[in-house]
Parts: sequence; C-alpha cells; structure tokens
Amino acid sequence: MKPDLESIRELHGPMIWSIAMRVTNQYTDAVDCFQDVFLEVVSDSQKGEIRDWGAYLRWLTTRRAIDTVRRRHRKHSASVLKDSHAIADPSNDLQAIEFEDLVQRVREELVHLSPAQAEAFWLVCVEQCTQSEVAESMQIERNHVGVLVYRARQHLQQQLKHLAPESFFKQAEDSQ
Amino acid sequence: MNKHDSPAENTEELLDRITSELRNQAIPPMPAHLTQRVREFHHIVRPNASMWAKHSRKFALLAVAATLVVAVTAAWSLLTRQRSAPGDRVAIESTNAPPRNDAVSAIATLDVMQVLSFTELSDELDQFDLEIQQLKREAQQLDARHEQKSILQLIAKLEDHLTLASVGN
Repeated sequence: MKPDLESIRELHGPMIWSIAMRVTNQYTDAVDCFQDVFLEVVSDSQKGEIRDWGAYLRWLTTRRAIDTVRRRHRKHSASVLKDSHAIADPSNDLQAIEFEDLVQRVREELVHLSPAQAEAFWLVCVEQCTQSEVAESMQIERNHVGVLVYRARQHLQQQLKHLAPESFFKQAEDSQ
Repeated sequence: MNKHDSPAENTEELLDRITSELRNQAIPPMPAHLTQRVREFHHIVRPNASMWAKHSRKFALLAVAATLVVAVTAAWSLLTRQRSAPGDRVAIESTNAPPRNDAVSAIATLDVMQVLSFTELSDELDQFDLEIQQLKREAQQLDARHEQKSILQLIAKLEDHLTLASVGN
C-alpha cells in the first residue's frame, strides 16, 4: 500500500524534525535529514506494509541523522567543536558552557560507536523507546538491543572519564 | 573514594544527565518550506512510478516480438541446416531439437511468416533496437535508482534477445 505522504507529514513531521535537530544539532543538516527520510519513505513504499509508522520513522530518522553526523564528522570534526565554543554565550557561567560542550562531544562521539549501537542507544536512552519497540524497528532480538545499549553506554562512559572536567564529578558527588 | 562514589557510577550519572539534556533541549520550529517540499516529492516520484505504466505495453510488445523473432529464426536456421547438411540430422536429434516436420508445422502456424520476409525481420530488429535505445535513454534519466536498475536490467535482457535474433537471422 502506498503511504499517504501528506498525512504522514502531518502526523509525524514534528517528531521527525525534533529527532533530526536533536541528533544533528544543526539546522541545515536537520533539513537535509528530514527530506532524506521522506524521500526514503516514498522510494521504499513498495517494500512492504509498515505496521507502525511512528516507530518506523523514529528509527529511520535516528539512523539517517546519525549518518549525517558521521558524514559531518569525517568532513570537519574539529571545526564543529571550535564553533560550539565560539557561539557560546559569555554571560553563561563556565559550568554551563562546559556542560553544553560536553553534550556536543557526546553527540559527536556517536560516530565512534557501531551504527547499531548508536541507533539503539539514541532510541532507548534519548528518545525513551522501549527495547521491544527498538527491537522491532531494527529487526533484531530484544536482548540484542539491551546488549547494544549496554556497550554504547560503556563506551560513552569511558570517553566521559577523559572528556569531562573534574568539577563535573565533584558536582555529581555533591548532589547525591 | 568508596564503592558508592566510584568513577563508573559518576560517569553513568553524568551520561544520564547528558541524555536528559539531549532529550529536553529546545528545538526550533519546523520550517514551513519543508511542508511544501514534501508535497513536491509526489511530483518528483510520480513520473518515475508511471514509467512502467507508460511503457508497459511497449515492453510487453518488445518482449513478445523478440521472443517470436528468436523462435522463427531458430526454426528457420534448423530447417536450412537440415536441408543443406542432411548428415547433421543425427546430431540435431541427439540434442533434442524438434524434428524437421515439427519445425515446419510450427512455422506454418505462425502467420508472421506469411507477411515477414527476413528482410522485413531485419527491419523490425532495427526498429526494436531504436525503441530500446530510446527506452534506455529515458531510464537513465530516472531519479529513482531502484526503478532505473530494474528497467535497465529488462532492457539488457531485451538486447540479449535481439542480439540472439540478429545472430540467428
């Protein structure tokens, strides 16, 4: 059955846009990603019936957005981080700026995960999908999703040890 | 540092804070032009999708005609081989080729032989070739890669048929 693009856009467009923006954190990349997703929906419409358009589009957008970050990273990995420093509001306190920088670094760190790990991590930990939903979208076992998320978190936590300033750990200790 | 405050727990909590920040970050509204862009996708894709419908009759005719030409030329070459070299008969029969009488009757049932001489067949082949080249040019301009691939594969098969027919002729 051919999808009705107009109703898909109306129903899921904002969700697709939000994920594209959250993952890429860049307006033009998000616009490209949004269009890529819809072109893919049109091109692949003959493949088979989609049972849950919401879950499918959430997964497809995450995948394409991570691909975009990956491509961007290959082109100019350093300049993105430099830019994030440059546009930071000097009136913000240092801790907030450093945290913003850390969030961006974790986003960029997705490119060092395997595609499956990055997708599973984002969908479960950021988009808060259930492991069963992700398993169905990625067409893998539910347990496999758990393993992918665990490995992704391990990798990111390991990187945080090097990336995060000392003060972040002190702050975490203070707040407990 | 005790077990409760081990670095692993701290980085875990920090990662949770980061994922929460990623989830709750302010997102600018969806640009209005994207709505129009998605509507345009219908128009971008529709001509490609109608490629099959537009040329399906032509494809079908070409396939039938090419098969017919191959069958006729194969039967004719079988006949001429049998006529010119009767000694080949044993070899032909041993490869399960139809006996001469069957080939003659097969050709007799084909009305096409009453109207098409081999010169005409050759003209037809040239015409098919032109049609195929035209289809190939149109297919190469398609945006949809999957459909383009399918059409080019079909065209390649038709070309194979035509080559066989030309060789047979």
